Amino acid sequence: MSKEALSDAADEIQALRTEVREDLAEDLGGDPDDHDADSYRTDEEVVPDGGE
Amino acid sequence: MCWTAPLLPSTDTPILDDREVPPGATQTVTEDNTPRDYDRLYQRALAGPLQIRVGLDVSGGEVTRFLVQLEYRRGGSWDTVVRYDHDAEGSAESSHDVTEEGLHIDIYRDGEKHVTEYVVGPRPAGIALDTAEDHLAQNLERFVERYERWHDIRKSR
Repeated sequence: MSKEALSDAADEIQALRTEVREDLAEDLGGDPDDHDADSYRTDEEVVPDGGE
Repeated sequence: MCWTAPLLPSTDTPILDDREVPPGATQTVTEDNTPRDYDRLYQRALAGPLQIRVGLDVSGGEVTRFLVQLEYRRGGSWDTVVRYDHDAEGSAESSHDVTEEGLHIDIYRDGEKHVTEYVVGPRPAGIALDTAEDHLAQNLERFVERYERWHDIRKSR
């Protein structure tokens, strides 16, 4: 895949991510931001994939 | 809400169903007609030969089960590239409880699970679901390039 297509796909995943958070807020109550990993307070870093 | 896309064969999507989505389209199912009984199921065609499927269950005010799966269309079927999952009840042998074990990623090669990697420690399932989607977006290039290298796929698609 080209870099451009990969970038577009990543953007589409982020858009879906927003949609899922909104639906979670609808199902569980509260605000979509309540389900936002970016606002979750933790000192731990997410590990990039290794996998080889 | 109802499905509008035709069926498409799939070789490696045992948990979710096998329906093709036109580019840019989204499907969300919240009724009982969801195959494999996810309360919500999202299936979105992505750029190039990719699609993402997200399934989740909600019960008792919590996300009790979810799956985030990237697929690559190859040879007329959808191959799993990577998968994140959570099952609070642990009903599936290979599933993880993200609230206890943390979030993991299953990496696929040649149609089979190649390795499982740790992503981040325990966190609420709804947050872990969002973390999984973000992790996929952030690492998409690496996942796809590795998949293409493993399967001798040219980058021109």
